[in-house]
Amino acid sequence: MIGYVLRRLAWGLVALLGVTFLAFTVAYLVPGDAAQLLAGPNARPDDVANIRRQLGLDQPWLVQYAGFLWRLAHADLGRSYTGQPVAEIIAQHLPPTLLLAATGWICWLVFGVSLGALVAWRRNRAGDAALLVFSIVGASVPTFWVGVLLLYVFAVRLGWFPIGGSGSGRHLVLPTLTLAAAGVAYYARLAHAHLDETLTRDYVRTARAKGLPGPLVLGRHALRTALLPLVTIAGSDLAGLVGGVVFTESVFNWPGLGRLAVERMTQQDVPVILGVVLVSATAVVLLNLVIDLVYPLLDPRVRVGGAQEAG
Amino acid sequence: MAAQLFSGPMTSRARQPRGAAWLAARPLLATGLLLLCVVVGAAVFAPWLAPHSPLTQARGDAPLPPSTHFPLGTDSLGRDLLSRLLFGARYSLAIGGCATLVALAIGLLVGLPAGYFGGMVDGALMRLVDVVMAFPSILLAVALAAVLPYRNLGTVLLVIGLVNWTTVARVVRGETLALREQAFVEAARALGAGPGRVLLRHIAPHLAPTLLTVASLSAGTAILLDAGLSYLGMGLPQPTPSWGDMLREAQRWYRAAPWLAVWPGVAVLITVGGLNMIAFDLQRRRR
Amino acid sequence: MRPIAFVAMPILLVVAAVAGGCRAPGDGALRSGAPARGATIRLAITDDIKTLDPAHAYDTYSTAVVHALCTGLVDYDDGTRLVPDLASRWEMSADGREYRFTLRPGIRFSNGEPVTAAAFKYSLERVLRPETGSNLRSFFAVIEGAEAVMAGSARECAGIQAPAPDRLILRLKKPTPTFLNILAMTCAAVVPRSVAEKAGRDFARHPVGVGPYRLRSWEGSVLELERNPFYTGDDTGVRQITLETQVDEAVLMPRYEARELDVTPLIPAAEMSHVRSDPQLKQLALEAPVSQTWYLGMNTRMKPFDDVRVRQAVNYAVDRERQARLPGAGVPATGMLPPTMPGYNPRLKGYPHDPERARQLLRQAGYPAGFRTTMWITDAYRRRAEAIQEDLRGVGIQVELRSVAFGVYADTYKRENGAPCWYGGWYPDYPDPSSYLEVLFHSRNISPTGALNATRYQNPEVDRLLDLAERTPSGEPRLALYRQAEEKILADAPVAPLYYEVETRLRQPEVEGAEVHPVWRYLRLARLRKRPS
Repeated sequence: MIGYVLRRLAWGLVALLGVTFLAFTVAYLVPGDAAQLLAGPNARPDDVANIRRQLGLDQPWLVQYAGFLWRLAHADLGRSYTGQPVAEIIAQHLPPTLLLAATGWICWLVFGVSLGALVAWRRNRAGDAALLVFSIVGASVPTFWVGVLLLYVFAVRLGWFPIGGSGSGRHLVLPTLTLAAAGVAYYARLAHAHLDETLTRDYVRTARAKGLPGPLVLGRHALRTALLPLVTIAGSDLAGLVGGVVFTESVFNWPGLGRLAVERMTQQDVPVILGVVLVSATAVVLLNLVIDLVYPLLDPRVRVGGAQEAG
Repeated sequence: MAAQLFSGPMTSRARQPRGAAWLAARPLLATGLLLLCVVVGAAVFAPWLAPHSPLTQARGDAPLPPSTHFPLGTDSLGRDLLSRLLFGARYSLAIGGCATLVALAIGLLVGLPAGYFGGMVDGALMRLVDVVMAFPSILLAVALAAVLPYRNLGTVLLVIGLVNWTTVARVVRGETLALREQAFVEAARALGAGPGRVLLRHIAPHLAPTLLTVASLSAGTAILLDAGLSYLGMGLPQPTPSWGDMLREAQRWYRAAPWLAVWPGVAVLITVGGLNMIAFDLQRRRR
Repeated sequence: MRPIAFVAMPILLVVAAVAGGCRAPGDGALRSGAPARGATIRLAITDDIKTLDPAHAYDTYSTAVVHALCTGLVDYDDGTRLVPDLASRWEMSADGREYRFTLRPGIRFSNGEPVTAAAFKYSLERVLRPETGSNLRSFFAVIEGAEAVMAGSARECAGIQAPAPDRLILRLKKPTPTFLNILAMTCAAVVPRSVAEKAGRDFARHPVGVGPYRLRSWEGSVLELERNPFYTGDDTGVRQITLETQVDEAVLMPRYEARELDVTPLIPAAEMSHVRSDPQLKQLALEAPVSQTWYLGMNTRMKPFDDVRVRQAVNYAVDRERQARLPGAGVPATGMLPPTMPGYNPRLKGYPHDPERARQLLRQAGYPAGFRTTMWITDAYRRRAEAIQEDLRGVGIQVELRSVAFGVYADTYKRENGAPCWYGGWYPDYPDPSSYLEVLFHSRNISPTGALNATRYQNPEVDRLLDLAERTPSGEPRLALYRQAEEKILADAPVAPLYYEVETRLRQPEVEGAEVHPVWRYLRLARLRKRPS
């Protein structure tokens, strides 16, 4: 067990290094002259060169990467081209993203699993077909289009909710719905699939036959067994959401990390983009690590050796 | 998000039960193929179906609302929306198809050796997959799009392929791992076939049904990602009639011209929905 | 649109302060009744504020906010005329190389510190010093001894003297008619040494200066400015200004209609027809040209634009009327100098939209079937560029649009053989024709990379006229020289001028002082106020 934990931790560290390397390399390759960008359209050539020197943009790639790692080890993500520390910018944009990701994720789980459970319990063709259609539409519809439509109907036409921005519970409703659309469909299908299998098992049939009330059977016996595998999936999905809310944030003008990244992309603010990409990827690596470490505790049937898969 | 939607049941994390109470026969496949045919038809016959050129800009107070002359109205430059939708199918399908080929190529290149050799090779390759998968696909795509000096059809599908290959690699690895233990592979090995020969002659052919499923999923994801990139302003260059770009424009105009926001989204939904239906059906058949 | 009045810049030998050392009341200020006391003004912009350090701020919005926090010796009236600000008066020596300023008495920074001439000396030297890393320092290069400070070989600038707490003397290397314009830029604002030295780069987020407002907080995308208690100028009655940045354009109108915004930064193109057709909104819309000209730039050293007939053909091919309508509002351009600019030539006719003439010129130039080329743009211009693309397609020129991030775009088109043509706009540093014509078309501004004369246009006669104008003191003869140069440039057509930008905005009925200013783009925050409701 200790060996497993150590191995898993070591791998986590390697993954983090890989993530920094990949992120830095991509950011390094961004073309164009960051110094020119900072200097503005009317700047004179020697001023641009001056800025380039100041930012260390004239250094070779590996030197820049080493410097980047060194500063990273000191919790320094560098400065945006606007002069503001990147860590500060990210700290400002992270809470809205976490809020949106968390509410969206809870909706996925709560509504998705309930819907899946309901359909599985009722066991009729119409319900199954409806769920199938729902999950296909959910998987095929562009998130931003859902957002644009919701925005048009509920904010522009009906005026029930504000058109984008943040600051109150009412601002949160439409982005959450947008985010929920695809996720609920996915989790409903997933929960349905797992439950459907469980419900055909003997012990559940027995419990049903004994005349135990339906919800009790579902909650006590079936859900617990069936939903455990969902934990790993839901866990990494939550982490993925930190960087995966790009569209929702863009549509709703939500002041989070995703919109920050897209905005800074057009300005080529490489340090900020690098910071956002790193934070979201690190969240995924760390959460997967936690899941892998915690999962054997939740489900003793999982053989420690086999849990490598979850990396 | 969408990229991972179907990865669940195909990896070992989640198991789909046998005999699930999905629809009985194959109406799903039929519907999917029908939708895909509609889109392919629109793409192929766009020059004959389109009432106008997708580029001609009508003068006047654009965007113009739907009329007999412009059945779905025009965009803010006075271009016919219907014509742009029809020609847009060409680009969407081209990107979906080609990006999938890129993803399949990289995925096979990584997944086959990982599954076949196992051990260190597997460990290293799968760690690479994990690192790439740690990046949310749209963020990675956006970052890659920013790396390119400029964008055209080739670079956009390269970006999407580079983001999309990880799912393919995982599935291929899993299947190869299972096939490796099969009697006929063992036999081939016992007869002295090298790894290259075993992989190509004995394992690869058996991957075909899986690859078909993965390909149709991947094409759907690619089309969604392409629409997304265009929506964020990082897709094909203007004046390409791209569905994502139309939606991007629509959001600016939706108070004055709400009709712009409807049809491009429907087009994406039909195309990706068709591909996903096919994939769903194939996936269920294989179990 | 309001009528445009031009005040030719007089040769300012002595400008006496208005009303005995009291702050010159701005022409637009305090006209009608008492303002609402304790008012809060809520604003939003679609852009980001990049920095609030006067030494670095250069873009429209950053300078607009800086100007509310940090002012300098001189400022503009409601037009392009220079008026005293922190200096009560000044004298220029007969040779035009020395300026002697007298500071207004009793001015303090927003932290309570008194302002002295030494603070001005420090502030200007701070911009010059290499460790500040200001890309605006070259504006002060005309000051004697500035180059030594810029190179790091001197700490103090010999040409900047503060002989008394209220006396500042600036000596120049050569007479510079635009020097006072340079001093009116935000980079010449005064900042307190004690704060700036301690803050270093953080000064960008925590600026202190002399202005009607001071920064209370800047968290995330929201800036809060509060009334500066040490400010001795006009009190508009506004206690606080809240400025939200990076607000999506699509949200502006709904939020204005919900009365969440007191002034919109612009009227989106998509809302223009609605605003113009609504009698009530129309009343509240403010529209006026600013000094930005949009144009299609052509590299005169790259094929096929090395042929003047091809460049003229492009000029005939583009539909300027349509270009001017696409962003919502604009005025078709007949030349490079916009109507708000001293030296604007109303007699210029410009090139008419004449595709037939364009095709004829292309035939003469040896391109009967047209040609293919690449136009570099950024995403912000893509719709307008698409319209140009279609115009040019009409005369046989196939244009591929290359939309890239701004950094790549600016780097490319200023580079030798970088971009054959590009969609661009120019906003001058100050309202003087040199800030357009000299910068963009003098052959001395051609360099292998980062060339401001990006079209690489070279005409000895134009160079001569521009040089002559530069030496000529402000006044009508100087402007005439620039007009002559502009006519020659337009005939050679290194650019196809497209339209002059018109700034548009909507105000709430009780808001005053939101008028468009020809030099200070966005809002002049210092002038904003509310009528009591």
